Amino acid sequence: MSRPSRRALILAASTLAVVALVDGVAARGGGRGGGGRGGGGFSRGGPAAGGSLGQNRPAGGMDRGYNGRGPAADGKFGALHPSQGERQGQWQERHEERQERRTERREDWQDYADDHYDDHYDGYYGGYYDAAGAAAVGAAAAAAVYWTLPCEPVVMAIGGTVYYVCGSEWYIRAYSDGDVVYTMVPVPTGR
Amino acid sequence: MSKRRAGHTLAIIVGLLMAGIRPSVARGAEKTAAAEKTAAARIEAMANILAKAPRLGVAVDCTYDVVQDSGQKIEFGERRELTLRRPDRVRVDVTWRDGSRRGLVFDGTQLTAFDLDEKVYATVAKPGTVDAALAYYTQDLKMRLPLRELFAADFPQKLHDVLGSARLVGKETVGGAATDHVAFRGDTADVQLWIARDGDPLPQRIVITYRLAEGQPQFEADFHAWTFNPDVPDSAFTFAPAAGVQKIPIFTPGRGRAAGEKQP
Repeated sequence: MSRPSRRALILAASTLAVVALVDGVAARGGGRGGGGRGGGGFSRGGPAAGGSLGQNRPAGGMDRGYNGRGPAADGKFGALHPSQGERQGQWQERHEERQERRTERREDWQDYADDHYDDHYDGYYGGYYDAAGAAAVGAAAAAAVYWTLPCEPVVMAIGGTVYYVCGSEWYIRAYSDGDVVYTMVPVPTGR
Repeated sequence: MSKRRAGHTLAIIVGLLMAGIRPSVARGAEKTAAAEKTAAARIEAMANILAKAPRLGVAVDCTYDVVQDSGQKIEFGERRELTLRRPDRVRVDVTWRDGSRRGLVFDGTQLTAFDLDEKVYATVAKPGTVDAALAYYTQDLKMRLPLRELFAADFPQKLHDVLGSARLVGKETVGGAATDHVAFRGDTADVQLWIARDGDPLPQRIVITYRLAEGQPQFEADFHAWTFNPDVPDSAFTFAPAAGVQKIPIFTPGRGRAAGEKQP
């Protein structure tokens, strides 16, 4: 093999290695929490959803001039075989993980509620209804929000507040982080 | 190679460097400096006009990427119609691509978020300016309001530090308007703006790239129908719930209670 072609081969091999590395990083994916209701189970929240200009301090490493070419400029689909994370098994795993997280959150909330209802809500929660009767709930409830209810709820309007009841669990709707969600509340007094 | 020939070659290289290349490098640097000045001036002019206009109206078509847990990037979009009346009135109507509608109104006292499809609204008392109300809306209530900074009175000051990184990419036509395509870099995001060349220096398009975020998602928006005199009645800034619309609480994280409610 001549010297230039060997060099080209080494270059190609190292490019492949870099591509593989980048692929690996991308495939490992997020761990960042979902947030936001989207279509077909896709998350609608995320850094770009905020449309913030970010921290406006200058970034280092400015390049002079602009390159008009790049992967996105070609607009190609790329290799059309499934990337990691799209295999059925992985979806399944994620689904289960989410369920687990949700259950954990619920348990946390329940623990909190068990600990705090007596000393906190009896004296405190009762005062949480404003003149219009809208219910307010403590910060702890902010950790437990649900897009959907676990059942077809019984809907009850009490004192101007609409409750959604699933068995012994009472929920109200509230805005949380920009979305309308359900959140669990203590059973209203006298129920 | 003989010593003599090597000497010749060196002389030719040095000659080339001195005669040809150096002046062209200098010309390039001059050109770049002028372009930087233009870009910074254009962005500054835009920021000033947006910050100082007593009234503003615009329709914004937004799209943004959301990088899923799997790494897959999905685009969402919405149309936002903004009406601003300084110092203390604002209304934003948002229509998602799925047709669902929501928004916010502020009348100088009450800040209300509403969702017409969920048939709910939440109100917080926040007397003061539009800037204070919208900062509270996004930072404390954690509600979504893309491009808020663009319409804040302190936008020119906020931009000050990044203007040094501003560059003119070129003169381009977007949405039928002749624009200066400019770009600057912040700590976490790269911003590109297309600023109208004719008439008022209003943005016609913006692209924000979150380059440190996984998958480098982008937020893009096209601006339509800019007006300095939106024809909106006073009543548009106060929320009047239709029959059957429910008032619900809104969380203020870390305060231990929901906003807009009485102290216990």
